[in-house]
Amino acid sequence: MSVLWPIYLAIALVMLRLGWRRFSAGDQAGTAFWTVLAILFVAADWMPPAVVGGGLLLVGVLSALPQGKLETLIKTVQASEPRTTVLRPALLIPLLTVALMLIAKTVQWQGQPLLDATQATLYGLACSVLLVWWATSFTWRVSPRLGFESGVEVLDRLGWAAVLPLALATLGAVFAKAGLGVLVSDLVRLAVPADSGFLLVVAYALGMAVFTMVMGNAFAAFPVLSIGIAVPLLIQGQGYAAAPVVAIGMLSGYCGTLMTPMAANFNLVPAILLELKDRNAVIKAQAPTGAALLIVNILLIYFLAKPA
Amino acid sequence: MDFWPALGLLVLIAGLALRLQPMLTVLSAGLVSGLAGGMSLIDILNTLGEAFSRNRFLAILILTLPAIALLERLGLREHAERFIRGLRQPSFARVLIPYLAIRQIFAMLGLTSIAGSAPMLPAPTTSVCFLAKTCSWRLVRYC
Repeated sequence: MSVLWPIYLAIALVMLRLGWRRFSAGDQAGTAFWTVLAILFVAADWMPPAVVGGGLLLVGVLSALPQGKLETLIKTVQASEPRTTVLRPALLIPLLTVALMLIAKTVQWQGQPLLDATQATLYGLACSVLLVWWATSFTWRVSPRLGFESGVEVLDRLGWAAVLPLALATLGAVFAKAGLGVLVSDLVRLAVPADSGFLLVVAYALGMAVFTMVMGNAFAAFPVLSIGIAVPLLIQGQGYAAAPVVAIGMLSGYCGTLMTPMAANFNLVPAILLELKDRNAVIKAQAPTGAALLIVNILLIYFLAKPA
Repeated sequence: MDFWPALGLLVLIAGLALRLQPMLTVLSAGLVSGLAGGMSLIDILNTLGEAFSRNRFLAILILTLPAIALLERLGLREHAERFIRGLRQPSFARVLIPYLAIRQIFAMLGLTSIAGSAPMLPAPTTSVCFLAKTCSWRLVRYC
């Protein structure tokens, strides 16, 4: 059982509630989508991986079925008093997260730290949002259900976008096992003369950006292109310094992140949460920066890592 | 050279270009790529399942929704706007530089894995959108 299981359970509860509301609205595909996801979240630790994978494919199919519209459950909102500001609890979330994370890191069990850095951060965030939710409900004298049901409604608006990063992470794993990295390496060897350091740098940085745009995540692109191009051709082949090549190579991947709808949690979810008219507004605003940074990164790798 | 694994990439790009359901497109791309790369179906399902279990934490965004949605209901956006309006000579720099400085400090403390994701963004992003309106910046059409 994963040490993060309580967090998964809490996530599953929100999903189950949305599934239940979809059921009440008579929407079978939506009900099944959220219910299966919730079950996978809670029970994946005890199921054979192949069954989890099958469940995930089922979720994919369910997401493509026509889903009914859900009407808003809570229509009346009490107007907030002008003197009290909700900015304070909003700012409390990141502050509490940091504080709780630093505490969680020090928790030990039989002389061993209980949580690694990522887990401590996740627990910090989970506890801080629950605390802020509870404290805000208490201070503003509204039922905690208002926040919960509103959150479920936001999840309904997000829909599949909320779990797309997860699907992409699984895609990266399959791509790696299917041998895509080897293919990339072979192609670059064919297309780029092996003695041209600059073109290899361009191929690596550009490849990181493009792969990240397709896969939505620089971490998925990094092993494919670093094993394919950076290590064999640049570092071993040309004697480039490893640290600047891979560090700035990762940064080149993030340039791709700025320019792709596949990085849903950065580029789509905020646009939906803020109810922007144009879903691609975030990407349009970021693309020039991403392109400019990519060019700078290519030059940086070339001039910083090139052997003297 | 074995071109078959790239078939999944083609499926992914074609599916997105044709605006098919992204979840289904992504998962089909994995399935196609695995089969074309010579993996057995059970192998692919195992890989999918393991990757899902390992990366479940990516969905922590969902857990933040009750708090965020509650604050929105109580008027977070209006309050952010009022806050910005109260600043003397609001400008992108005056809002963004402190915000980015705070993000940098948080990252230094080790908040790297989540500091960039959506729950950390709404307040500052709304502020920027509002700024865009007041400064009649060209971003205004996005807001």
